[in-house]
Amino acid sequence: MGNIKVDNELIQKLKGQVIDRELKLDFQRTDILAEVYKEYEGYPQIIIRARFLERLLAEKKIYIDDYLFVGNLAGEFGAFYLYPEWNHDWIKTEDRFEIPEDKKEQLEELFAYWDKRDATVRSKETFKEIYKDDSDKYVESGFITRGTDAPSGVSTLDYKKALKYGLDSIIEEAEQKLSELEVNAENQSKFDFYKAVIIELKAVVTYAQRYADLAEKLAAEEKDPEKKQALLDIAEVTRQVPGKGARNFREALQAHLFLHTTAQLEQVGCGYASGYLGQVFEPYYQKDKAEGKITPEEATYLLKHHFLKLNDISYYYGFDYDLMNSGDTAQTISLGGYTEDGRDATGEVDSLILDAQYDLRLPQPPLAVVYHDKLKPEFVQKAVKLVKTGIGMPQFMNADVLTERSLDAYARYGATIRDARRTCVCGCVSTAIESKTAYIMGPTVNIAKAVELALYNGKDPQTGIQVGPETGEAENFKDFEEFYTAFRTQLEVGITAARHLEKVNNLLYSEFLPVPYRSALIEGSIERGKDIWHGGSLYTATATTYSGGVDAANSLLAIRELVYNRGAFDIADLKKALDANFEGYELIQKLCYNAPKHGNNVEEDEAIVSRVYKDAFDIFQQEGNNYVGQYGKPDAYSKSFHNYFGRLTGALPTGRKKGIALTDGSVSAQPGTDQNGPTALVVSAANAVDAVAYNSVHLNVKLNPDILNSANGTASLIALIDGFVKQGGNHIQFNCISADILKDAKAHPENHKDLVVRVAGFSAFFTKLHEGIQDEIIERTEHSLAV
Amino acid sequence: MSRENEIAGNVINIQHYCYQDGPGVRTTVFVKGCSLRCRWCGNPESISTDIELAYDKKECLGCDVCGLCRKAPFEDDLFEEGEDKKIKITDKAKKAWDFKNIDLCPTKAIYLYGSKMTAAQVIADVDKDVSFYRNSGGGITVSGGEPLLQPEFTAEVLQLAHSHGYTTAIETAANVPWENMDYVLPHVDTVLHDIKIFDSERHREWTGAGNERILDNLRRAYEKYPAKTFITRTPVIKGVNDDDANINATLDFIKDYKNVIDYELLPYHRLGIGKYNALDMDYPLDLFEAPTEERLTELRERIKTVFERKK
Repeated sequence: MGNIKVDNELIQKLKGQVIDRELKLDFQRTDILAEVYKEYEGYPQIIIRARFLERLLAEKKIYIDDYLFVGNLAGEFGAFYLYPEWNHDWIKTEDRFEIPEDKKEQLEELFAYWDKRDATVRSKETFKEIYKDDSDKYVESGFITRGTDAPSGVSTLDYKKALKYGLDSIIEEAEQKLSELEVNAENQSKFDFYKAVIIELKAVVTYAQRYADLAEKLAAEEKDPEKKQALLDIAEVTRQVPGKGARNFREALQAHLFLHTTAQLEQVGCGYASGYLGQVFEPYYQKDKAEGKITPEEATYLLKHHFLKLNDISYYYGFDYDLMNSGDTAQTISLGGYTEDGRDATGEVDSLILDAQYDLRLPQPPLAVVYHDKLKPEFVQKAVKLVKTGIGMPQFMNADVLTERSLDAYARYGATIRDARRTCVCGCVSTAIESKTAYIMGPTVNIAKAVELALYNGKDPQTGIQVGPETGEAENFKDFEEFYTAFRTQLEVGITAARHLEKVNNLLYSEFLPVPYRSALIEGSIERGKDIWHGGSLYTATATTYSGGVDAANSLLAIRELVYNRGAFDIADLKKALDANFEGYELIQKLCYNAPKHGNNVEEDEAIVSRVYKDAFDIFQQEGNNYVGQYGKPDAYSKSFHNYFGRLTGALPTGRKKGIALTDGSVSAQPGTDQNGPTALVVSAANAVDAVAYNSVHLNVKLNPDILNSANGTASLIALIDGFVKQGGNHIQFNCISADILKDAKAHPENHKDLVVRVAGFSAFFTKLHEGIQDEIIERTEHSLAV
Repeated sequence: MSRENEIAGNVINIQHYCYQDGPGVRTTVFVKGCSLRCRWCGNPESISTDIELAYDKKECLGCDVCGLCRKAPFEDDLFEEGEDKKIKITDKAKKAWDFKNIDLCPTKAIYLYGSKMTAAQVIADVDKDVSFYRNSGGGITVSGGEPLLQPEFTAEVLQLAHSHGYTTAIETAANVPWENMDYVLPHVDTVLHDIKIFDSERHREWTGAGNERILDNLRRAYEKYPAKTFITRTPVIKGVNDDDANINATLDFIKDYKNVIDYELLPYHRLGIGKYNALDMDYPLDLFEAPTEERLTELRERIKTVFERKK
């Protein structure tokens, strides 16, 4: 193999391509989908899905460009596929992407087929059949999402095993299991599962060979000896992985890219975090280094190529979902953390990953430092140096909370302390035991909507739909407790509906959208002969998520203070003001805005925030275990749901006007309302939610860049993170771009195309964000350190 | 000096997460009342020992929209309607202010500078940040105003802070009776003190007092408390005290004391202008400016050379 030539000009060129990329539709997936579904009609769904992936991998357009690595999601750079199995209504109504004339008829056929079959329509029907209730009202009023808007990723695969032994060994394992099965009724579905696993894994190995063939063909035609060698190198690597085990660092990276993109080809989705990927790569790096085959600089260079490839993975499922998601793909890499026996797990590659992202500054992969006292000071310094770039990475997670959280959820299913110490980020801020946990995505609940419903006797003031029960005219409530009871009753309806949809959706997925490939790479499924949607993996998390919790708590605080304690106005006046979107009611708006707010570390105020989240937790548990029968925990984060729900939520007693984004994260402060400085905010945030009981908590802090550039800046920031962790906080991330720069970027996007900022559990190009999110980021309080 | 259990201090505010007032992450308690009258003062609210009423006109919603401060429970004639429909603060309000109801202003356009707090109340607020001091070596700084004008209170706060394991610091101009200083210093780890101008006559001209007592206090403090850390500071104003002679004389004064570990130059700033407006005080806007960056760098280099020689 030729030597790696570090070419930073090439990196800049490739980065430029990522920044300038325009999404374009690629119809090949849907063409193959139609073909395979017809050809295999009558086969079990799991076999149809396997044959579909097999065909896609065999026929999808492939190409080799300037990257050291190969393999892409769609057929060309910047292209994305359509996924009508989940939701395809958006394709009919949106004109963002041009549909070529010759595709229109085919699309009509596709629509006709999926109109009666996609997850969204089936979810509506099934919900109605089982629960005798119409789910549309919850979705249309902006109380919850349906959860079928898009397919979901959110799993960490067992890369350690797959890289070491290769897929061939897992194929053998499945074949062995299949041959040992007794033919009986109980094993019926297992035959199909193993068969599907074997079809898909073999297809992946063959897929890699297609690249080797292409590289050799191009090499034969290539005159330039350097380029010829580069192609031969690609051929050599792709002949080896992922079928056989990786022999060196480069092969390890290529193997990961194949395995990772294949998971997305089987079921695309946000949230395919790669666990402690640096630690997976570590032995290959150490071996190469010991043999004198690689330097830290060369390894960092390879990581940059790898990261650039991750940035090309993209999807789009319509405007609504884009509002919720802002184009994030959440391919998070966890760094640091504990070894199984509780030591510092940080490896050299973890550090090189920070270096690579320091140079690149791209939205993917998001980095998460799993923080604990044993981290080496130089590693923490390097992490803070990356924070100072303003790209919002890394986020910091509390290693001890992660460990306790996994024990709390999974010790009952056999998880040991050794397992729990390997808890990593799964998705953007959720966590899971690495390579052992499957994730069942559920809908998201807008907690703030329950305040509106409590104020309006269960009727959504925006749509006029009677969403919740009649909890009484709010004007007649005698005290705050009566109001709170109405709020809780409304919230119960929303969370219960979300959990019902979660189960209905999973019922459907397990039947017609199984994921044998993903299952094969999560511990437990091959042993049990079950797809993860049927409970194959050792552990299964339940990702029904809460958004808008702080907006609800701040609304309640304002009502308690202004209506019931001070009598500044009554509920009737408040409702008039809210109905008028505060137009002509500036005094009420100001009173609301200046009422007590979360984030100021005032105990009696924070008690309301905790009460809301505690009640939301208890309501969640009323619905029992998840679809596969395991104990579940709610998540609390915003992604961009705060913007999506904000558009569907009227003026609130927080002083926020109609349509404006809700508060980001789950324990961040409402923009501009944390007045006691960053320490008060992080202490409030650390104590607002029981971070062990929940599966995620999410805090954004915006810091003035002057802080970080001062002599004491780094030390002060580390003290802030450290203090947050000591308070039991779980997740913290920082934005430190000045509001002036952001405003300029909004006005003159052409000058700031490469500006990457933290949105929620992820970073994104600022200029590509929706206006609502841009405004919300600008408005988040910019904390200065006191001078 | 007598000690009481419940000594109330006059506190302006408590600022969290400060990083320039001593080591680590610090919480700074600003107390009210000062014995100097520096003409460039950036903290006009800290001068008087009285609690003062402040008004931020741009936050005022005006009498048509709001007018809450012209209704009960406020007395009738405390606030008048101005020509711009916004309120006007009467002299009566400045003097006879009913402090209980100030929070009823919905936008905090009217507010107070100063409140009475006991040392225990101060420390309870400081305790909220306990997690941030432990690893950073941070703690509490009492600043002002002049903290040594309230020696019992300041000493009590610092003593309590020590008993909670925090490091302590004060910011002082040292223009107080030696007894005050001597009373507080046993409870201080780091003394950040100003020497504003070295020549006493010029000092009197710009700050309203000569500096004999200040320099005498500092000399005695350096000598009596060899284990304490002192950091000298000069707020530098172009044409007032940024001349070679002044900086050199100050350096000469401190250079032989091992416990004076640094000399910092803090350039003049105009961040206090809003507070002058809020207090209805005239701002000496055009009088002062900061030295140029080049000049500051030059002076800092000189200081660095002297301090390197000290080590």
